[in-house]
Amino acid sequence: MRRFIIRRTIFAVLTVIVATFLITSMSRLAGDPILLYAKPGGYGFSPEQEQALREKIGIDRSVPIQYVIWLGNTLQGDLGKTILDEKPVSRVITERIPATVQLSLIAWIGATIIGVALGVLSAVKRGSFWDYLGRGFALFGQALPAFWLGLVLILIFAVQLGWLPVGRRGDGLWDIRHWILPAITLGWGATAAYLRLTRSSMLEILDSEYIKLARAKGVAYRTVVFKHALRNALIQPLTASTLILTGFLTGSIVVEQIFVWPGMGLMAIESVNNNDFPILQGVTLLFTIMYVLFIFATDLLYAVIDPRIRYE
Amino acid sequence: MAQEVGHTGAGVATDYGVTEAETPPSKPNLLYRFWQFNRRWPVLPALVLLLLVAAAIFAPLISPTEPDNTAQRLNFRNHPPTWGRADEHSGPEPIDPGRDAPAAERTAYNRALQNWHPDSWYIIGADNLGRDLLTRVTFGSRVSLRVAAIGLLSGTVVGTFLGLVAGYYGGWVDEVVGRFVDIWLALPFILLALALAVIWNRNGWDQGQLVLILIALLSWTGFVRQVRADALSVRSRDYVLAARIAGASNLRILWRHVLPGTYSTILVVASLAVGGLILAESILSFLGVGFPDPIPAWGKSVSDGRQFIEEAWWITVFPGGAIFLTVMSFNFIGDWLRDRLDPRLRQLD
Repeated sequence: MRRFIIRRTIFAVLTVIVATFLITSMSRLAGDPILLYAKPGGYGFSPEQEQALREKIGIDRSVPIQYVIWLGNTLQGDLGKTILDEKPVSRVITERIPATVQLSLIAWIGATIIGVALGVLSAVKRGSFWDYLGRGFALFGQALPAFWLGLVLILIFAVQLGWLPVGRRGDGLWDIRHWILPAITLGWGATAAYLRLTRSSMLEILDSEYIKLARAKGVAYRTVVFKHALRNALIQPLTASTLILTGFLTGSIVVEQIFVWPGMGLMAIESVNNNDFPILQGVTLLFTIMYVLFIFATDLLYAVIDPRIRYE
Repeated sequence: MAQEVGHTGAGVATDYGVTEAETPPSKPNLLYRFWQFNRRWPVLPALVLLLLVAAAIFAPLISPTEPDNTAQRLNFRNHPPTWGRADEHSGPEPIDPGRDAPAAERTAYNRALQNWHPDSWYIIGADNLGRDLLTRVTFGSRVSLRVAAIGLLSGTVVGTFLGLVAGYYGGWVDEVVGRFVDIWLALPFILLALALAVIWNRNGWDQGQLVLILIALLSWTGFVRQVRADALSVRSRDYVLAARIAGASNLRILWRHVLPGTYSTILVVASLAVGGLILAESILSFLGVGFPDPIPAWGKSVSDGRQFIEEAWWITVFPGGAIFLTVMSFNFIGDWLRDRLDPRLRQLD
């Protein structure tokens, strides 16, 4: 177990370094950030001033050195300032976190409950209407492009029916009208994934020897399904759920773009377009750290839930 | 709750009545029959894919107009679908060239001509630049198929190679490949894609190539794990041992004995990956990291239609529907192939 943790930590650090270094060098290749202020050699912009400005933003040295400096500052908790309006990056990012977390959590909880419930129903009542509903949904859900689903939902519920507003976060957690469409769009594919996972593992377990034994012993059908089978069948969707949540937190870029949801994804797109690299570095750092942490948590969760799994 | 069902129907003899074998409902309903038929013979998805390939090959022949700007008429921007019936814009009476018509009449004629289009145009509407949407969707199938082909080709080659090597040699090779895949999957792909797009733009490089590169970068990881598992199990088989005793080199064993053992896995993984790749391309196109503008791609059409969704829903709905149908058909066929070829990967159905 200790070896496992050490290996995982090394891997996590390596991943974060690779990702942030890649994004740093790319953003430097993507254009000179100085152009956000002034054109070098332009009117009233002397070479000395340009040099001073470069030093101020921190782009006067070669990219690897810049990266090392950035890494050093980051380790001390200083993510730098944004180029466009010179706000601290950490503050800009933390301002955006609640929106993304809110949307992700809602979509995650909804998808987990609906997906797992439909999956169980579909497996237990195999061949019934519910089963076909489940199978159909699993098939549909994975093929439906999220951006298209979002637009169609807007078209139906906002444009045609005029029931729901579009394009603002609204105020607070209970403003359902604002988050319902983005949450459905974000959670749709994951619901289908949950359904598939739950259904197949539930079917597999219902077919296993120990379930047959329990039935042969005379345990009630209901008890067998909900106590013996369901608990074991939940291992897979449960461990997948952490990955799905990471996917939501780091991958809601498309949904945030469609619904103009003021979260981290939208900010990331804006920072790419502005070549505001300090934000981009910060977001990448955050996303990768979240990813490796969640992967780690998933592995641990696996070992905790399923005693058969042991890490050397 | 149905339980204790005997083996009454077509279900496989399975158990002691806990899982209900797939017994048809007492009155086999249409839904059930349809699903079972398609599970066994996926005719419907195959038809969709056939249609797709036909559309890609014969696009210039079957589409009503040219895909790019030549047939574009801004007069007809966001023109609603005509659904194939004659439009209210009937063609103007041509002026007899022998007659010396007055200028006013000529002007009226030219104006009428501008507001007229052939009946075959705009069957499913026009996009925001007045281009025929049906043509764009038809030609868009070429983009999707190209993406799928390039992605699969590179993914298969690279992924299979790494998977084979990792599974066959094991040890530190396996470790390095495995960690490399892990790190790769942890990278924030969309952010990197967006940044790369800016670099491409700045240097004036071909955006279309960038899309293909990105898809190729995405596609290989799925193959590594499965092929590795196969190689791992094949390498300890007797025939591999026999080949080694006979003095075959590692390279020969890999190529002649281990690789053929992974063919069915590769086929299955590939067929399941196609849908995802097409979806990925459309997402990239939607975010603006797509093929450059005159090239019609489905994701880009959806993105174009986004700002006109209130007045012209068809720009968004039809290309998106094409993506949806295509991806669903590929997924369905992939599932079917998996069930047929690789029972190990099979999900119960």
